[in-house]
Amino acid sequence: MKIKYIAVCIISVLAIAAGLSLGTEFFGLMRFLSLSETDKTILFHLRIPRVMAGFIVGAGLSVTGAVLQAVLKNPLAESYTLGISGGASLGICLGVLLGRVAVIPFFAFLGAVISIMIVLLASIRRRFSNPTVILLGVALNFLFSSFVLFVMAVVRNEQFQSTMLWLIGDISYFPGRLLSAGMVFITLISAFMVLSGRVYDLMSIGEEKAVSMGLDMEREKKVALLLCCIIVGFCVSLAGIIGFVGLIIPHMTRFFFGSTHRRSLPVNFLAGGSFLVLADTLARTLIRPVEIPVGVITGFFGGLFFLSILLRGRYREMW
Amino acid sequence: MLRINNVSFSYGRDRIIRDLSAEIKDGEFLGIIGPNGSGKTTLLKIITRILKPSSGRIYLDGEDIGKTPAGRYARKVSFLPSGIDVSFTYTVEEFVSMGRFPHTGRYGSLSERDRKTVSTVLEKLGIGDYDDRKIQELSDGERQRVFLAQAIAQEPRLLVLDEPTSHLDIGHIFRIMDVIRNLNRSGITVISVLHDLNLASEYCSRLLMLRSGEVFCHGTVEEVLTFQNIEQVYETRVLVYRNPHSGKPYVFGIPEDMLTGTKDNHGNARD
Repeated sequence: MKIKYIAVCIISVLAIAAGLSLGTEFFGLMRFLSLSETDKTILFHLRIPRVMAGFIVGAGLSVTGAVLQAVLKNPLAESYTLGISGGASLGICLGVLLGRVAVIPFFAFLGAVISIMIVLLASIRRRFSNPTVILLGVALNFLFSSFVLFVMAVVRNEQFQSTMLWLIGDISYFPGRLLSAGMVFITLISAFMVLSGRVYDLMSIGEEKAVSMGLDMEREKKVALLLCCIIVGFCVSLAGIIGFVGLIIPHMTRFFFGSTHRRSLPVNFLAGGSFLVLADTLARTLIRPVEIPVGVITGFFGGLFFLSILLRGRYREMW
Repeated sequence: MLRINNVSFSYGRDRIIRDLSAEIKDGEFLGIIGPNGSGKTTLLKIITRILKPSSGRIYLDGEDIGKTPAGRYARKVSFLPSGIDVSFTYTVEEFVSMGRFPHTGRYGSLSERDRKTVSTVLEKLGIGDYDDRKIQELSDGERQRVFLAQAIAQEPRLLVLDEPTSHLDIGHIFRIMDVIRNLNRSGITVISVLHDLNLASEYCSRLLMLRSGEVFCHGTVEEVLTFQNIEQVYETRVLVYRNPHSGKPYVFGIPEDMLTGTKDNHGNARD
């Protein structure tokens, strides 16, 4: 078991190293040791913030994916498939329209909370099955996204348009100050979630069992969902809508490390971060010097992953 | 002692439990029987605090369970519901260890004593050697024993079970029921919903028979399992004999086409 943890740590270090050295400019070990002024600018103003943002967003999306799946007992749940990301992006869009760029994560959080409330209320009232909840989430995502696109098309303001660019899932455009706030919040909340891991274990085996072991289900669920919304709010503010990370990484983590959340959530944090940094590195280097939005890469892998689950009928076996 | 005082429960306009009162003494093995929809499972959920009664109170050792802190109640009462979600890959040991949650608290971790309790329970249920297996890989019977082990690892004084033997083959049924009986003999009070009247007859010390959310009959197995009671509550014809080995009542159902002519000697046919 220990060896697997060490492997994850090594992968994270390698991913960060790759993220720092690869790109339009290649940074070998020698170049790191003798940095010119331009190199320093590239490294400290572009590469490092971007790798940090990629890591923290990937980490946040994976951790929330794992928690959402346990809390809602839905194997396909994550911020994207539940429509939370879409809600957050609409929140951001409205926030920018109102000229409140400084509190973008707050608008993202509001949008996220509203969309998860719509999904939950509808699915409770209509007694939706798990796959139906996901359908509803995806539908909401489309609605929100088309609304965002509509606003973008109507408001012919260049500054507004460039602010909105990152919503399509791109790590290169985030406003600078957000990064440190996002890192602090996402790390702290993830740490709290690791500590609460045993609660998610109980929730994952059913409401009746959880209550009979002394959990206040309603409160725990609300707290967990709100925390997820805060994380997703920051993630979308930093990198726009990035789908499927919260699906691929938790499933793979469970495969190697089991489902116990105390054990799997830290792995999700590291593996999710590494995955997005690598995906973003790939996005920067694949057809140099053109940069592809990282959402394209994650969407590609996520789609394949989703298909492989569905086509092989491994929907239940994955767990 | 568990005292149920005039408990009612409504779901929307349906009154599922109506003004129900009963007393369950320490050390009893109480079987709850009754037709589908008579409120058996709802009653269990009220006892385990999953549902709040619309009116009435329940006292465990004189303490109102509605006012007992959730954690403290969970250290006294554990519940084996009929539907447990097994879609997550937990190993047997991880799964049974969850039963220690009320003792460790949400931020705590398993102490040496917790681990020991878990391994003792696994031994006792004959699943000690596959603690590393995943619960999905088990057969229905083995899995049910793991679920039971989780409830026992909680170290309850009162064990509440909802049809612990449904969907099991006869071998597993008796293995599970024997485990429960042994627990009961070691001092744990047991309340269990059972569909199989003959199983209830064989294992329970007392029976609570429900009809439409009310107590129809509450007493010893012999008092409750009479053909008159069963025919009235289940609206069907039965014969009640005695199990020659244990002397307990044994209920036979009668298919409709055999009914003609047997009307006189039904039920009275015993011995």
